[in-house]
Amino acid sequence: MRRQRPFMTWRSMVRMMLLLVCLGPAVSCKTSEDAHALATQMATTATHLSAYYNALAQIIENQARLERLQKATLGVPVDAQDLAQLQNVEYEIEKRAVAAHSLAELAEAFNELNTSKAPADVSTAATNLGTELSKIQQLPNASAAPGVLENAGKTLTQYAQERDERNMAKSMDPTIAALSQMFSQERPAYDSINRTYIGLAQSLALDLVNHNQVDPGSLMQPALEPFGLSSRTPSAQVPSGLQDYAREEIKTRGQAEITAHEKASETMDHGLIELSKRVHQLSTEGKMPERGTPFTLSDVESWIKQIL
Amino acid sequence: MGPSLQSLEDQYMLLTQQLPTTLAACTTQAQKDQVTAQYVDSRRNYWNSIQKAFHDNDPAILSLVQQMHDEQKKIKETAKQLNNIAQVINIITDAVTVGTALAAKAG
Repeated sequence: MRRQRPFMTWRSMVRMMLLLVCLGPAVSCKTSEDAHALATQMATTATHLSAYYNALAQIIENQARLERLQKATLGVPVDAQDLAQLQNVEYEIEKRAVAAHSLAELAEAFNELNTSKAPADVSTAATNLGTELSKIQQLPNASAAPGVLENAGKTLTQYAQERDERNMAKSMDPTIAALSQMFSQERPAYDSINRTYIGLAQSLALDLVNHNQVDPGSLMQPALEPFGLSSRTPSAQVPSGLQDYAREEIKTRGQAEITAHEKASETMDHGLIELSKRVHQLSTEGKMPERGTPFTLSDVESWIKQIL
Repeated sequence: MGPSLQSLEDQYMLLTQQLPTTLAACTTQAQKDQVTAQYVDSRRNYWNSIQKAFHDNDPAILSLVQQMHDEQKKIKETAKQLNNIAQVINIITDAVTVGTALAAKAG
């Protein structure tokens, strides 16, 4: 039998060690990229969700103002019961905004796990999220949320330090799925709130046009602005043509605003469904086949900018 | 959207659109008060349903929803009957009563 030369065996061993040293970081880099990608998407989606709810809460505040205006112009009663009714709905929406903000903070804490105080940040953020979720009655298993997520916070930190992304995702899977489900179920109510706000505004605006209480100056702006001119408020009845144009603008813009909100709520819904799907994938398969941004939330951003 | 929330929204919005002309057709303050009282009830019914976000697969709710559809058609017709404001007020009252029953089903 031919004897192996020690030199060749030593070179093979060195080659193998070098290979392992090079491969090791590549393997661990892949798994932490999944977690980083998921945490980034979670932070982005949750931040937009919080802003969406804040904008919807503003819509309800605007609705209250319109009802008071309706009282002034048409004598429709608005009493403490009516205002309390609106405030209760606004309060429910604000709870959702705060919960979404807590989720964004948790996701951001994940991404900062390289810093020394980050494990404590993850635990704190998870506890806060649990507290905020417990205030939302409609959320499935809401009352269990504080305890579940406080424990989840400790185990999340441990899993993150161990680079156990699969168990991290498993801890968050039910929470993200519940938030997504709640939004899908409540989305018709969100769309309805925006429609009735626009509908009431349109009705009041049309009545003001009919009573010659609208300054049509802004309608003439496109013609005058290029020349540095501004309109003069007419002292007599506004010409009927301008009144018709104002009515047309009220209807057209009202419909545009309704459509913009419906696009925003649909986009937000899809964003949450996709996020939930990816969390579930990571928790069951241990990896995320797709890491890139699957959707854009620009429709949500556009609508929010119109309101806030 | 569930049919009950949609029904209550449709009623509230239709009454909102018609409110200025309906009030203009009233000849007495008592008539105006009746119209605005029914309008406020319709508005409260709507916000109650938003708040409760109830389920719409109850057969009793579906029956009420059908009644709401029928009442909605009558409300639309009132725009052509403003010369008989008493009749208009009765139609609106009947429709809002159905809406109140529907909103209460969520409790």
